Amino acid sequence: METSLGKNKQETGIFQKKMKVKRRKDSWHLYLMLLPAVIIIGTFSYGPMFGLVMAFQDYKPYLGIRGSEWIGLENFKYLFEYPQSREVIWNTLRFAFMKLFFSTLVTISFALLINELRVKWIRYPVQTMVFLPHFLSWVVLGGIFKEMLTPGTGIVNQFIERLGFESIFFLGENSWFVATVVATDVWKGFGYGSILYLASMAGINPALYEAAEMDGAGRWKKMWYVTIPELIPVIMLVTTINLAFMMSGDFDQIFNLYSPLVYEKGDIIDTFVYRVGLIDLNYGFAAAVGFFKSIVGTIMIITAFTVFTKLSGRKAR
Amino acid sequence: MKTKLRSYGLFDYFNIVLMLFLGAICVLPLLHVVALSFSSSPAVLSNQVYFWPVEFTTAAYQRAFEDPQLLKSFWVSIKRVCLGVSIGLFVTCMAGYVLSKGGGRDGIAGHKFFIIFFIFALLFNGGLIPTYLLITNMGLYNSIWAIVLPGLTNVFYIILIMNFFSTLPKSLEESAFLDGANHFQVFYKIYLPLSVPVVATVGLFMVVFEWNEFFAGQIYMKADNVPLSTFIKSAITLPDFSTSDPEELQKLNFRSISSAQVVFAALPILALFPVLQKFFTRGIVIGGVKE
Repeated sequence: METSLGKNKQETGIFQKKMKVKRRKDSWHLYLMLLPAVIIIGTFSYGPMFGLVMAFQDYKPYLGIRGSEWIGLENFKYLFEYPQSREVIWNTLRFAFMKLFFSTLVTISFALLINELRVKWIRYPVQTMVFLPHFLSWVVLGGIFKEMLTPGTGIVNQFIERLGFESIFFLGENSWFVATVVATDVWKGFGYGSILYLASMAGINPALYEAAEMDGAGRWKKMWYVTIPELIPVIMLVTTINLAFMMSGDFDQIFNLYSPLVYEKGDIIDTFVYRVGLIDLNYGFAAAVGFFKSIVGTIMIITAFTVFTKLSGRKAR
Repeated sequence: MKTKLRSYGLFDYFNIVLMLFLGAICVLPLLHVVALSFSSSPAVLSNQVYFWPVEFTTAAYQRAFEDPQLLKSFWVSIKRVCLGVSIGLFVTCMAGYVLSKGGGRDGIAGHKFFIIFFIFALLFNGGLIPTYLLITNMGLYNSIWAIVLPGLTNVFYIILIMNFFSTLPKSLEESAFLDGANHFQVFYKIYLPLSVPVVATVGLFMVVFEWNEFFAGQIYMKADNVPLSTFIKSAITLPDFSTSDPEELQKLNFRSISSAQVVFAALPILALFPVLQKFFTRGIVIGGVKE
């Protein structure tokens, strides 16, 4: 905007005046153009926020928000006393941290290794292949994994049995379910996640590598002392974003893979809210659980970004 | 030059094998399901099928298409994608245009307020239950709008478009304004044509989302009006044992049919994949660098 102002100064005063009048007259156009987005976000994002008052009510659908009885923090008290909901909160956090850790590790390692690939013509097909799972929905992937992981008939268990081990009920045993969920999540995302790292690697100044080579650095040392340090701002950025949104986004996966057999270790806040709220019709309590999750999620986002701006401000990206 | 002349070491061979292995494990699960869907029932039931169809047959697909709900759901999904993406892109791009103008002389009063308005919606949300009650209370239950309207615009996309628009040279619109154009004309005739790659990327994001999303269909639609992904979700969870004819059951099995359904649900994404890959690589880099 500053530059356009500067340019205008060089133009004649008449033009400037004309433009100003035109702009002011037209600004209602701008409001009109913004209106649809404001209405949609206002209705479907802000509307439900007002509905959150039902977390403080003994909500009865036939009475509505106006008619239902206010019970204060009862729903929240229940949330922290009820053993199942405590379990669900732990499960949510466990999944989030395990996924964050393993997917960051695998994604960065993959990006570094494929960058070291000397046979260039293998690179493109491999990148295309690892990209694919990102685009398939968890409905499709749920179908595929249920088929592949079934004990006895699934291809994975056939393989395990052929190696002489006992078949594993990946989706039906609590401990295996956690590992399966984390592994499939990493599997789905690492290819897509690596793009940003690869793009940043392509942008590293070649002079740095040349200098390192002059100093006698081999491939390993170039990777360790040039590539990785140069990537740190991007790693920090991506990790912050993932950390910020780690409370959400698991629903589709869990919902498509789990069954009552693994509720104990597999149930997360979102699936719990769905079952308590929409299946058992315990609206008030489910809204309170959802409220709790939103607050924790928001705190995570704000903390993550505050820490990130502090760090990156000091290190000057 | 030096590096090119160096011969491949042990690490290089290891790396090649590892990369090919990783590529393979991303594709093989899908290939396995495709193979199952095209294999004969006895071959599937005796676990002979790996990554290539055994005794090729399309019987599973024929059986899957016998259920009229499959095509009906397919149609609902098509409607949803067309409505959601066309309206969504329009709304998102317009909002991005306005916000890219900033406050002050060029933009709108209250620019900061609107930015906070959108960002807060990104940070905090009402959660499932209040959203569900809001949409059903609006009388949208079992209407296509229940699954289209809430997803029409996404704050991330608005920010992405806004960032791109603000990089376009201001002099272009200045001269258009001097020629008597208004904001609508500048938006439509200058900004959109110059932003085709970004707009297309956001459009493809929306296509993939609208096609894959199943949950809204599950909670807001009646069973005979659900989009394809929701239908597939329920179809592969509950086996269809409507044919009690043992010969028929022998010929077809649940595993082949559900594989066929899964492949059918993935088909549009697979058909789009070459385009998606190209655009998404560009999109994520633009989005990531800008953020």
